[in-house]
Amino acid sequence: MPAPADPPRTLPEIALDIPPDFHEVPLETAIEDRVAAQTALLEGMGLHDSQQREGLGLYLEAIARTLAGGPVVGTAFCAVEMDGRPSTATLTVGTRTTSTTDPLVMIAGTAEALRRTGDYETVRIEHAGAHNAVFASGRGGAEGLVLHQTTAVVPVPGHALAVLITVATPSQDDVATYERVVRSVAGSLRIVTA
Amino acid sequence: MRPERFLGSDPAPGDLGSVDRVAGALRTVLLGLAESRQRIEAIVGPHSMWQGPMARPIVTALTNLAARLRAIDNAAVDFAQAVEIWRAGLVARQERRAELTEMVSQLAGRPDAEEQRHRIQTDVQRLATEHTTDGAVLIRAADALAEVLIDVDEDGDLAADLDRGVAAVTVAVEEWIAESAAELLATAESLSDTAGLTTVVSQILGVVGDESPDESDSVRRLASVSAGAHRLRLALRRSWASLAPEQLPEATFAAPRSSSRPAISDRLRGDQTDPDAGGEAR
Repeated sequence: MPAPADPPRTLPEIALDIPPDFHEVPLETAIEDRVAAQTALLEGMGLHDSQQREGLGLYLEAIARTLAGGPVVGTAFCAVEMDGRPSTATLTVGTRTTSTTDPLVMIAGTAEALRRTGDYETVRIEHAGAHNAVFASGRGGAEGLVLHQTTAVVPVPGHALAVLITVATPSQDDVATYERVVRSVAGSLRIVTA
Repeated sequence: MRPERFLGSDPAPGDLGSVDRVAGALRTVLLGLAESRQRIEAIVGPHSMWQGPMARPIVTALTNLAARLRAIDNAAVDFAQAVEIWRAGLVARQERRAELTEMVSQLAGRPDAEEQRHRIQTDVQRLATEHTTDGAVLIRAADALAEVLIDVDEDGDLAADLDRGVAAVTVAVEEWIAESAAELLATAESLSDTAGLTTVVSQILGVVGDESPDESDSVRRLASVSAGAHRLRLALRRSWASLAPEQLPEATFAAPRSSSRPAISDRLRGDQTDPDAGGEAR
């Protein structure tokens, strides 16, 4: 079996289609950009209570500082009405370089590694968009608030890179809907420039 | 009425029940062959997980197996058609045989019917020749099927090829798990933790239950290292349910407009990343 070719040194620019229902937590590196984005987000949410605005502003900034330098590329939340009741979820995206460009090895290895953790109720390999991805579902979250999570791990074609997308919701009734959302986002992954 | 007794020999021997059983068994075999081939083709189809260099030997072996099944399928279809033709001929000949037997029986004890008996014997002879000829066609079809089965059987050791391919993938997967799985799982864990943190945003918006958000260690840790930590902790200890928006936008989960690329995509730009710097394309 010939060894796979060395992975390309330059990682590609990747695009994902994220539904506009999700509002991204501002993670801009430059503080002035970040604060401007936070202010725009608070305005967009139409919050009128000053304590709520302050609390949310402080929290958004705390998230940005906590995630700085880590593997999380972005995180977003949605607060929507679904079937006449409120529903909320988060969508979080990260990337990780790996040691192979071979999609089968990455997919099978990821699925097996996730299964071995025992943390997921289901781990499946599915076709999403133009490629295969691993979808792992289970429960997680903070104490007192159960989050139903599905994580998609999508190999980036031709690159030793995986994109991870996690959707999480406390809304038990809406799990199937958000699973469709994460499948759709995973299926939208494409390389914009190689 | 036994034809041998009146016609001298049976010009169209054959058990229709047995022929029908063979035809039924062949139909079952054909269905099984088609189903197996379709399943194998689906396994290695464009939507399967068997993509990339490591999958190639397995895909090649399974594609060869599908091709062999197709060859057997085609030969079995030809043989099934030959059996159907044989059956139709057998039915017609045995009906004619019954007619001739009846006619000869009617001529018994009539010495003046020698000419009629002779014509019937000629028909019997023609019937026997047709039966033998059709039988030879059926045997040739059976030989063709047998030949294909022998060729397929001798055409390389598929099981060994598959075994080698699967073993190589298994080794590569285990090596990948040893090298890369820990970091990937850590990233997944990090995303899970972040999902928990981001959910608190919805709690502050008042759309998640009545409880105050400050429940988890990670949220408390996040608050403790933040600017404005005291005020943030106060914010996290109260319930915001009373300030929940009266109306939320209806969920669409539609694809974004092409003109507005989400910021997450902007941060997925690989040209900002040094692959040696720890792995994150950020």
